[in-house]
Amino acid sequence: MKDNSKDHDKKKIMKKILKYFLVVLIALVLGIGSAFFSINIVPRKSSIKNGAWITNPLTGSKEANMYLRAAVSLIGLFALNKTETIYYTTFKDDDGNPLRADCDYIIEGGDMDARWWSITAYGEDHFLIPNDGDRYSYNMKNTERDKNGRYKIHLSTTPKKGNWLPLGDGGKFSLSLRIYNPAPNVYENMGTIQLPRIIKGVCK
Amino acid sequence: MKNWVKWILATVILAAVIHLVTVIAIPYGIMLSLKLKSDKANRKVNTLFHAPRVTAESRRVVRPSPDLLYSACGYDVSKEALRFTAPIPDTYWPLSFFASNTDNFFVVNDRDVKSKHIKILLVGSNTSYPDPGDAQVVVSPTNKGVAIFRILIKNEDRLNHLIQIQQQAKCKPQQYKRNTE
Repeated sequence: MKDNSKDHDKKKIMKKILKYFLVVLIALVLGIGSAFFSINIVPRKSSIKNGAWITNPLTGSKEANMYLRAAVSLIGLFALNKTETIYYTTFKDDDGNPLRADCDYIIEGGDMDARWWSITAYGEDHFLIPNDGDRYSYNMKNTERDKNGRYKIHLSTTPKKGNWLPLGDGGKFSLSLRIYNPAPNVYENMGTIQLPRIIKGVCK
Repeated sequence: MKNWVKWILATVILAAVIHLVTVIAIPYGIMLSLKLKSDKANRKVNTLFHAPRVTAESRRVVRPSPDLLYSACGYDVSKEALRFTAPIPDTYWPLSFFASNTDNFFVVNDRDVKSKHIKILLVGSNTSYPDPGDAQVVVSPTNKGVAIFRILIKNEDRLNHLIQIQQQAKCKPQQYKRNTE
């Protein structure tokens, strides 16, 4: 009788431990999963879209909420506020398709009203794309232009004439457009100022 | 209340707590991982590190700008203040301070600085800091954080000159005043 009762108690305890374990496990999956989902989604509410480019006026500011702060720490650590630098990012071309290194693209545009601007390509890991010429970006000084001051930057895995930003061996990539010390009309109109277009060309 | 409802409620409440803790902890975790990387590379706290020009090999901070020269100082102002000095180059040059939650609480650029040198005394909150002299006092909201100097490379031909200027930036500890009660 006593043994049966002991077994029963043991089973009861084991059942309770299993229940606690399941609660903790499910809560961990839900809590961490929803955290990363929200970090990806919530900052979009305060984001500004301009063509293919996306920026957030609260990046680097004290008004950033905890989701934006977490997002910036993951993909834009030590970002400055919008009067110092505006960071536009895109993972897509002008038609809304993901940027893929097995396609060629042309970035077409003109100068932005700022002290300096640059366009940089990053691999899927958010680091610079290795290439033989150590060419990672084009900026307002080193970009070849036509007589009207307009430029075309070729994004491709194979060499191109003129401004060529190498895309490495393949996979997805993204672009950052940095505008340093922008004029007030730039940081006050982040969604409407003229930004470079990203046009997809031939895919392999 | 039914037993299974209690269990579901407990799961949801615990998930909500884990959600909040994760979101709040991520910036601190990123800063901690940087600190561990620095420790591994024998870089001391309260010492300025002048990073070489960014390349595809640079893997410490995501999405680095190849147009900038970076110098960074992981600081701890709990026991000593820090005096930052640097010559101001004739290019875009911001000095920024980030708290332990990655908030950018202070930034100054070359156009804000009216002289050819910048002098800043970084102190912790509620400290009896030493005489700042002609330095601007900046109070860090957290004892630990990171200071970053950036220098824009406008012209590749002037890279060596800018590197020389970069190397002249300093972050030196300075003792707090002792309370004499």
